[in-house]
Amino acid sequence: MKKALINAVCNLMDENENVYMFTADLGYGVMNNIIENYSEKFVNMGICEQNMASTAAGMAMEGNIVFMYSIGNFPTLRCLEQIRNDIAYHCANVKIVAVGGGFAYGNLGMSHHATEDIAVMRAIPGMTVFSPADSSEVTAVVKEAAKIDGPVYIRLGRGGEPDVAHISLDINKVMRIAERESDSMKPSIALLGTGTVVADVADASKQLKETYNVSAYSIPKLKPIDMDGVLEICKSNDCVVTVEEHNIVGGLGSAIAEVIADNKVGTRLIRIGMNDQFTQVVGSPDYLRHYYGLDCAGIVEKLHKIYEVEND
Amino acid sequence: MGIRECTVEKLGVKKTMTSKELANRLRVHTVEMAHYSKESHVASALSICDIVAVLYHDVLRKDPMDAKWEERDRFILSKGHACSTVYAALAETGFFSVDELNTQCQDGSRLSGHITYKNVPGVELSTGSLGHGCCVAAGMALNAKLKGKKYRTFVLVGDGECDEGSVWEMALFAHQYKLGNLTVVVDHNKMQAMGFCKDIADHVNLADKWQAFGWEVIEVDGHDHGQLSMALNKRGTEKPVCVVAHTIKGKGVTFMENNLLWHYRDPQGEDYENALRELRAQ
Ligand SMILES: Cc1ncc(C[n+]2csc(CCOP(=O)(O)OP(=O)(O)O)c2C)c(N)n1
Repeated sequence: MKKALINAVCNLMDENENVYMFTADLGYGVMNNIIENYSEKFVNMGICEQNMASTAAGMAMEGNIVFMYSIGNFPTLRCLEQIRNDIAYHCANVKIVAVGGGFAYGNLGMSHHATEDIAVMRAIPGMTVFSPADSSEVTAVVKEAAKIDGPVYIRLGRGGEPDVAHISLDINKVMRIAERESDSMKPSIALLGTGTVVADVADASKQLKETYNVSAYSIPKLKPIDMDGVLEICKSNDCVVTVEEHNIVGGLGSAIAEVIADNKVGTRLIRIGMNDQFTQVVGSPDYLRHYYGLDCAGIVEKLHKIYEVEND
Repeated sequence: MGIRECTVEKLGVKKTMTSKELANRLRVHTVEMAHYSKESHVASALSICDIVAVLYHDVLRKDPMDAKWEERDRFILSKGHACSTVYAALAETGFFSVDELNTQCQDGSRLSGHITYKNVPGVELSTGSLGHGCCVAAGMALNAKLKGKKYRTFVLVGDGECDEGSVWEMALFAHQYKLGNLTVVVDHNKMQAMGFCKDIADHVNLADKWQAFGWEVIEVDGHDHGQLSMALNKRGTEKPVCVVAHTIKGKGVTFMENNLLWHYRDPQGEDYENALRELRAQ
């Protein structure tokens, strides 16, 4: 994902001389292409996220597009008021990039687990929020972000995420990754995932086929969300399940709940995510996803349990 | 009660172990831990082994049998990414078993890649986001001052960490409130994550900066145990103390010294063996 991001930003730099990359002393190895080939477009601000956000706002207000890059919570929570007041309120053309959303830096501990960022960024007026699942989504998201004249948040994994088999690829829409059967008597469920858990969602959709009539979707754009697409899914399924490497408060699950409530649809919603808790253990991203029930096995187990209870 | 008495009396750690020997053990542990965890920051950890060894050997009043002893000195690692050194110091001084060190960062381990206080006896504060620990330390020092408590508070920060504005907000505060019971140690290895500090956010002269904020500043060779012990045992009266410790990132393993690669790379294969061989010969 990191590579796809840097390549996409380099393409933008080729097209537009006013594109800049700011970092708060991170991106070793990742930034090589920019440092070597676009050195005057690259600014290492030092370990100064607050100053980076405000300086990016200043540059943007002078007509530039500034990508500001760091990992985990550093480019979001650490400089939140700068993002709110200087960037978002002034509609500054700043693209905030966080590498390592969710458990990507699982072994490094609590400070490096980013599981509230989507909620916080979604709450900022005017902020567009993307959480792509694989490199193809990242490339499309960067292109889209550049078209938006205003603040954008892009939440990435760390790298090495498996490619998602999209049936449709339109980054502004809910994107189908698994079709349901046309005529089936099984209860219909739609699995909606965002970001790094989408591969697990795709796997889970296969394993749940015996019990449910399953479809699955990747939702890289969390705000503004594809209201029509989500509504259609809600209306045509008995149950909608959201999966995210994020707190269930404020993330994808909440975004879907808002659509359901605002449009008076009665669809059942199950939110799978961090249950308003901090991580208590460390380990690889796979380990943590499993531990907190966000991986394929966790999703399948949860839905089987619900089925058993309800069809007893 | 100093750590030495505690460990010697209660835990039977070899009485003759000098702070130098402790520092060397910490170095071996940090290299082993980076090897097994396959995680970054081994050079950042090697940089502080002497400082941490002197703190735990000669300075901090701690009781490993009673990690929350009220009168204990507080020590916070603000550059939390160098935690292997402190985990190793805690294990070597009896807070938990040395055998646990190599589980760091493994699935389900309590020893995370940035220092954590959750379930780890002897750790005061979880850090990992730079520029937090020093401010929390000021809060602990303020408590001691307001309540007339004798404990001292020590905090170890990186020089790159001193880019963060919060560090200097704390510097203003601790001076204003005359926190002579607070000692900040700056691990001044002149490097940060993307290169040399002077090429990224030049501090020009860190010692001058702390002095200009009204602190008592002591500059030492951060690998000289005599100088470290003198500076760290010096309690401020009214002024908070800043020990600017000139260090070498990666100290002790020649090929890691001043080499940015080892902020990131974990020692494997020949590198691992060579590193251990060099440390064991010291
Ligand atoms: C707020 C914040 N921003 C960025 C990072 C990522 N990071 C980890 S270590 C490091 C460099 C720290 O440099 P320094 O304090 O000099 O410590 P050193 O490793 O060089 O000893 C950075 C930028 C972080 N941990 N916290």
